[in-house]
Amino acid sequence: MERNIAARIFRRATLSRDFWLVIVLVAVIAVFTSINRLYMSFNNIKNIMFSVSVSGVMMVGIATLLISGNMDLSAGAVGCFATIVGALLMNAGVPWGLGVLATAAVGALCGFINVLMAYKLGIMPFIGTLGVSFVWQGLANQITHNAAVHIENESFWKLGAGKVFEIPMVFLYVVILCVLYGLLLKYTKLGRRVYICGGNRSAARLAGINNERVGAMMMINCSVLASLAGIILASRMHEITPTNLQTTSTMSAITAALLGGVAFMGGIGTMKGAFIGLLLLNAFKNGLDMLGMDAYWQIIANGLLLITAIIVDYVNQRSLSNRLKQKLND
Amino acid sequence: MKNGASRRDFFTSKTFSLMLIVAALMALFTALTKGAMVNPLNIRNIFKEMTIMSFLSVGAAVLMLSGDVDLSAGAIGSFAGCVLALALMESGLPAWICYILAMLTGTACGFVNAFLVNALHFQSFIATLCTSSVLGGVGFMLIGGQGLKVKGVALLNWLGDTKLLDGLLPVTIIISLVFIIVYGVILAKTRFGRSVYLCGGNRQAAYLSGLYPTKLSYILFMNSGFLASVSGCIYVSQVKTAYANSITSYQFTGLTASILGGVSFMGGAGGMSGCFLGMLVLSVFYNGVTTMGIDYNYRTIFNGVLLVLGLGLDAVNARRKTRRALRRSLAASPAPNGRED
Repeated sequence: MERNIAARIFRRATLSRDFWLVIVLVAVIAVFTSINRLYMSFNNIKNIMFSVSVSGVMMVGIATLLISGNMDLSAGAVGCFATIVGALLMNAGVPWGLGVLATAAVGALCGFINVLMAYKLGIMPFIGTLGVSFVWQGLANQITHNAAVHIENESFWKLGAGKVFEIPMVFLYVVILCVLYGLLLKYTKLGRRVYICGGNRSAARLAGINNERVGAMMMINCSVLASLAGIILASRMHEITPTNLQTTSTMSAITAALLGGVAFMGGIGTMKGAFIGLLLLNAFKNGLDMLGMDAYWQIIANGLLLITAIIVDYVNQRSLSNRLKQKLND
Repeated sequence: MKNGASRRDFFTSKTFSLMLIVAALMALFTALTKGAMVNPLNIRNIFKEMTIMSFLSVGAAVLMLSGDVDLSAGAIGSFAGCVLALALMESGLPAWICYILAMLTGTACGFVNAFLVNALHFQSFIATLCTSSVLGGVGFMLIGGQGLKVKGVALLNWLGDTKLLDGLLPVTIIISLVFIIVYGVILAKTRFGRSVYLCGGNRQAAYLSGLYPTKLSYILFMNSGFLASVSGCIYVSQVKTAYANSITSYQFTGLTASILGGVSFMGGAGGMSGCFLGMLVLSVFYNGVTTMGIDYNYRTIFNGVLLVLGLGLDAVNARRKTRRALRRSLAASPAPNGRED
């Protein structure tokens, strides 16, 4: 009897995607550690935690947006532009709390513009957001005159420098955000609505759910989180450059979410899985770095990983629909 | 009667409004630069500004007509440029073989995109974003961040520097105009061109009427890769240096030009003449801004704003058209219980 239960637990575990993700993560870590012992050293783990933090905050926004069936390619550009505005305000003597609020507000405004484009004009989100990302990028370059903005505000620096039991605060921010958004997606009415809108838009409308409102909330949410990612980056580096974030970080946030099992077409995915995907991506990138590979390899690896994630996603979807068809036939 | 209607159609058409925009921009910049804008040399520069963008724009337009998009065109072109430069400098093959090699590379990259989209059912924009990041990285690995200079290749120098008519007509401009005209004729006059429109308008209907949308999609993605590589080769011929991201930014100007010119992002509408005028609007503006000495960043901003504006017009137009069609079909259909004799 007991063996039966154990077998059932084991079978259920092997069926879940998160289980396999953890196995892959462990395998990646094992491979890199066997190549270089220092990979598992405390300093390097801290490095991974730092690299998780910036892309992680952005990933949370992107993942919820993807689950709701939308897309935003401007997240990186928005984050950079909003943070630059905040940084300039702080340098002008505004207290850091207000500076962060202003950054979030600029992010929200940019998100609102995306919403207007998507729902008032009816432009497809991926190309519309790509278009405005040029505007934010150009503006960021123009107001900084193509140079880094150094932030002279020591209490703002502390935001990214704190530690709890030697664990960087910035990593804890990401964990807290993931838990919060995971709970929101799983246990609240809004969370259920996000899944339904992403899964089947017309069914959601027929069930009396305001599609556009859910999509708008997720878009604005994504832009605000992207600008907070910029804040975390700026408080760690003490400066922000117009080339920071931008498309590469948007891409890696999307990659992390998709690796973690968020479906590209919406309706499927969990924060838990996305978080593991995030760890996997960053562990892999850090490993490449450690082997002394060029930075270009990271870009290539990112693209290849994204392709792999989408192929896995497609195969999964197809086997799911095959299984459903078989059930209908029986 | 018919004549009058077609004249009215022309004056309300997008082609006409684009012509007006070009004329207005020309007038504005001529006034602002005190006539320097309409100097023959500068008019040549306007067209020169267009050459690299034009191949990308044509490729993007044809692909968009069939309902897909290629965001990797810039990366493919840059990569093909790198391959060209490497082949010219390192391999010792004759120059024309190097050019063919670069174009084959571009076409092969287009095939990879088509495979991802058709066989593995990726959405075209995310598939091409992936390939563009991979190709960008590979390009950097091949030639590094400094770029690779190409020296002493006769064909390359001839292609990049020859100018006919007292220096007023570079060969590259002729090539780009020939491409635009050829593609325009193919789209408007041949059976193949019509099948592109049909597949973009309604894929299912195209399949049912005996076309092969999948085959067409392969051809068009490979064509987009090919045109991108032509553009990359011309860049290298003009600048004599290959960079890993040499024409990445042109990709979006190309896309913007074709959307401005009325090529619908939903597929199935638009033509080469609009596309050409869209390019003209952009290059007149860029040239004017450069002549006046305004900062480069404003170009980026303007490009984004125009892209969004073009898309917005496209979306609003599409909605108006469906509403009109709906109204017409409601008016045409007989009353529910009436009988037609």
